[in-house]
Amino acid sequence: MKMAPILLPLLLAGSLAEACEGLVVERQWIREAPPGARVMAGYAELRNEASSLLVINGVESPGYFEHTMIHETQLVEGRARMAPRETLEIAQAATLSLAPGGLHLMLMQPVSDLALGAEIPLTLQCGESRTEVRFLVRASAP
Amino acid sequence: MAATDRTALALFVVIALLAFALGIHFARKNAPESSAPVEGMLWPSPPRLEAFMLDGADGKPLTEEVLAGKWTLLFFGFTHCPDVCPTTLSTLREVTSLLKDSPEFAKNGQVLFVSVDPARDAPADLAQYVGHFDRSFRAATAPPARLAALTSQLGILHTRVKLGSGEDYTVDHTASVLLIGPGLERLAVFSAPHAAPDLAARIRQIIEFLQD
Ligand SMILES: [Cu+2]
Repeated sequence: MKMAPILLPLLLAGSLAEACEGLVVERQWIREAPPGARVMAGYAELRNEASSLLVINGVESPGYFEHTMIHETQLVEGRARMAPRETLEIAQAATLSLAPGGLHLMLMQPVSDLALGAEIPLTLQCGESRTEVRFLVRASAP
Repeated sequence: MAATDRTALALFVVIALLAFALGIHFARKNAPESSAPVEGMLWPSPPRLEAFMLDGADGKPLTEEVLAGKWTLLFFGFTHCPDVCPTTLSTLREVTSLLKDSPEFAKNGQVLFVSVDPARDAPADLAQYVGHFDRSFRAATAPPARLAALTSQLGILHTRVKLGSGEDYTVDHTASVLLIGPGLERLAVFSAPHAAPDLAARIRQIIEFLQD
């Protein structure tokens, strides 16, 4: 490990890449899936505490979901559509909200049923860096 | 064709066109105006829901008769919809709970979820899906032709859109909540996004307005 010991607590076991610089994730949760639903959505507040633009360009959760994407729900003339987003850009000191009806992490084909209260590791990708965060499965927003 | 026949035909066409234009004119004149007492309400001439037949989640046909005598909140979606659909169904559970103090809605109110993705949503699976939000919620779907008999008259649009490179797809769909009255009147169309207190207040106002 080339990381300074002080950084170690910021890293979660098993992740070798550096964490996304400045990324702070709060109020993260995954909506509990109704029985039979094969797609879930993850929400969070993403804050950028670094002194430069933070660009998130992917999310993954191998072992929990077969397919994951960044999505945005858009309402156009009364119609809801989910559009994939390549990146999420967060300005210095800004907070980006992933919330119902808007930006979300699209979590498709869960490998098993994820019960209420389960903690699911999701990895946010920022270029070569990776931050792993545990998302709690909840019935509604924290 | 004789010349007189042609003149007669031309005259007939002109009269038909005039009648058609007049018809449009009066239809517009009599169309629901902005005089509706509640935002989203189709008033004073709410269109009537026409016959349809879906496959209910309870295994029985679900026709307009299931809506007769009820105040029905109608929402269209699909189970592979992780954001707008669960959010709206949670909102509708909150709405029904807020309306518990409306004796009329408490007695005769119901929520109906219609899947616009019959290829992936079997009617029987929809029971558990909506039951997750509220045991009293009804659900139904139908193969495209029978589904269209309901969606097209209500102006509900739904289009499949591919997601990524695999077989996955999502369905763009109208996210409005509709209120159907006890006489099958299409009383209101509430546009997304929905907030429970606002929806409940508007439904309460419409019921009170009609019961006065
Ligand atoms: Cu999505």
